[in-house]
Amino acid sequence: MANSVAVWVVQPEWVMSEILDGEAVIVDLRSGRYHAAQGVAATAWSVLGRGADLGTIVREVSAVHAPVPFDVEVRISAFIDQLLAAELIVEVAGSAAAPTADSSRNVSPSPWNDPVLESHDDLEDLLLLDPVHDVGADGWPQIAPPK
Amino acid sequence: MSRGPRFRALLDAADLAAQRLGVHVETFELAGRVICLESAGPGVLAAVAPAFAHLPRAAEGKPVELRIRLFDTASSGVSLPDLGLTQVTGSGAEGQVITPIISDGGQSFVLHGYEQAVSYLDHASGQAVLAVADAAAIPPWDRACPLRALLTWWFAPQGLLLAHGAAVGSEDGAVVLVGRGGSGKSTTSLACLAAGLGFLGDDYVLIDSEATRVWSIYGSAKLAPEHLARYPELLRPDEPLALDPPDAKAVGWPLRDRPTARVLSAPIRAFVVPGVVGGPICELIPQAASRALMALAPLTMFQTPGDSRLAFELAIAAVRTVPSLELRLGDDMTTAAFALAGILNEEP
Repeated sequence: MANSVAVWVVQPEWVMSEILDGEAVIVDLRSGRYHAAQGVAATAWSVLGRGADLGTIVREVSAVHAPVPFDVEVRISAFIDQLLAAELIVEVAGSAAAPTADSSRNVSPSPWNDPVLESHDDLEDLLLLDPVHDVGADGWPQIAPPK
Repeated sequence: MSRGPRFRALLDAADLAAQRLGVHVETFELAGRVICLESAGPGVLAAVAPAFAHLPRAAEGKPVELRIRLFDTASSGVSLPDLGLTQVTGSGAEGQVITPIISDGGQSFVLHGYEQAVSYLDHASGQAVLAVADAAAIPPWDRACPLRALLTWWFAPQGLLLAHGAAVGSEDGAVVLVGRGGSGKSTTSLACLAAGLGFLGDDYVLIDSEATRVWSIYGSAKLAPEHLARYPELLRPDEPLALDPPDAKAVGWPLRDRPTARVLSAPIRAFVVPGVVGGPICELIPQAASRALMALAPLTMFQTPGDSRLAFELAIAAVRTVPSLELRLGDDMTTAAFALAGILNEEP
C-alpha cells in the first residue's frame, strides 16, 4: 500500500522549463521572473517534472551525484522550500511514487553541489507595464459587463 | 460582440479612412513571405515603412501572404470602433492599459498610453489592422521596430520567432547576440559593422528554429549616446521628435547609411551572450546552451504579448542545435569583432 506523503509537481499554469547541458531554465510566465538550476538542482527539478515526494527526489539525486552528504534530505528540503517560495512547484494530493528505472545509475556520478535556485527579476518591470503577456488558446478578451 | 464583428468593424474603419485619404502601399519580402502595408494616407506608412526599407521589394505576381491595413484617427478623422473590451489596468504608469486577444485564429492587442494603438491579426485571412491615434505621435522606439506584435503573432505558428537580439555576419553565417538591454548587444553589433561585418539587426531578428536560420527584419539601430560618440562616422541618427522624452535613445539606420552591409538571411553559427566584464580585450568562451536560452527566451517572451509557450519552444529549438558562447566585453571593442569574425570564418 502506498504511503500518503507530500508530493510536488511543477506549477502547470505559469511555469515553463527546459534542461539544456545539465542546467534547467525555468520561466515564470506570471511574474516575469526566470531561474536557473544546475547540477543537483537540475536533477531534482527534472524529477519534480514527473511529480515526486521527498524520498523519490533524494533517491534519484543520490543515484547520479556523489558524494552524497549525510544530511541530503535536509539540503533537498531546503531547495524544495525555495521552489515553493518562488511558486514554481505546488503540493498535490498523492502517494509516494514508485522508483523509476534509471539508466543513469550505470554511469559515473556527477559531483555533488548543494542545490540552489539562481533567480532573476530584471524583467518584472516589463510585466508591470504590460500586465497581460501570456495569452493561451482560451483567449483573453474579457467582454465589458453591461452598465 | 464576437471576434468576427470586431475585426469587421476595424476593417470598416480602415476602409473609411482609406476612402478619405487614399491608399499608400509598400510591399516587401520578409523571410520569403510577401507582406503588404496599405496605409490610409501617408502618415502611418511614413512612420512604419522606413524600418523595412532595406528589405527586397516583392517580386511581380508573387501573392501577398500578410496584408496590414494602417490608419490613424488624427489624419483620417476615423475613430477606433468600440470593440467592447474590458481594459486591463496595469500597475505601471497611470492609465497604462492593455487588452490582448488570442483565439479562433485572431488576436488583438490594445496599448493605451504612449502608443495609443490597436493591432489585430486574423490568421485565417492573412489580414491585419494597425490603428493608431496619431501617426505623428508614434514614438521613436516603435518607428525603429514597428508592427512587432502583428509580426510575432503571424510568424510564430510558422515556426519563426521574432526574437529580441542582434545579428551580424554574412550570408554564409551569422552570430545572434542575445541578452537584456545594456548587456552590450548594440555596442557589439555596431563594432562588427564598423569592422566590416554584415548587419542583420540590432534589436530584433527573426529566427527560423527548424532551419537554424536568422532573418533581418528591421534596418534600424537604437543608439545610446556612447554609440554616437564612438561611431560618429557610422551612423546618422534621426532627428528627435518634438514629443520624445529626453532619455529616449536615438534611432539610426545602419543599412541606409551602409547598404553594402545588408545581410538578409544567414545560417546561425552561434548564439553569443555579451556581458561587460572589463579588461583590455574581449574574449569569447564556450558556455552551456542553457545560458543562451536564458538570454534569449524570457526577454523575447515578455517584450511582446502572445503565445509565450510557443515562443519558449521555438527558443529552445533554436539554441539546442548551435554553439552557445559568452562574449566577455573589454575596452577594445575591435577585439570583439575580431573574435566573432573568427567564429564566422570557421568551417561550419
